[in-house]
Amino acid sequence: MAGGTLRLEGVAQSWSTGSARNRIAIEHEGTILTVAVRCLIRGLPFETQALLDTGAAWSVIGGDLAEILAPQLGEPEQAMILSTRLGRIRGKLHELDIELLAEHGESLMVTGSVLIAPDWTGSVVLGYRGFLERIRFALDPGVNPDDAWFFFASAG
Amino acid sequence: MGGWAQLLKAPRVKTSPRRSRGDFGVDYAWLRDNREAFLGRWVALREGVLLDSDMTLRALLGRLTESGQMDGAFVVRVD
Repeated sequence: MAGGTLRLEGVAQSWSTGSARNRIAIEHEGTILTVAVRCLIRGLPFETQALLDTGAAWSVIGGDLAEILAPQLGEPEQAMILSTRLGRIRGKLHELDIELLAEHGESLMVTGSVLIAPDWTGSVVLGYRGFLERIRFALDPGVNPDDAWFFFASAG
Repeated sequence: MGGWAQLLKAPRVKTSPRRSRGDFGVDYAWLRDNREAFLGRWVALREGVLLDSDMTLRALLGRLTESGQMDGAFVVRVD
């Protein structure tokens, strides 16, 4: 499950360095959040999950996780207001390491920009700008929800 | 470079030798099978087994630390 081959202009190259099963169809406040991946957020001593959301401009960590993380975060930081489906939220944009964890192959460490917003009550979101934009990834839904796979690699 | 300039630059991505010890599938199956009973609670799982749960994350983390079960735990809020 770790690898895949990309054929570009007749040249075959490996494009996926890691893979892991992902959760699908999580219900949250009446909304189906479709793809959740397992990750390790620097500063938190446990693995957790995050919603993979290419439609989100930014990544967000809120609620209890944000409160625990906030004292450990340093510079740089910038205040930001983000418009979300749950309304406007205020937070601070920080540089943060988040590791996408692999079951097969290698995990992927991403040093990106994440909004830390204690008022955000939704799940951890991994958005496009500052995080997903430099990751090559693919989703294989499998034949049932227990066999959905997330393949990933650095875009180089 | 700092401030907005640093925060707006492209993310840095590199591979990591770390691999989770767990079987993700059994944890996801547990969450699906036990969602109603634990709705709104934070749960800690390892290999599809519930380690502990609590309504607050801080309380759960405190007990996991005391019992030495934090390493490798998968901690999520059931929603």
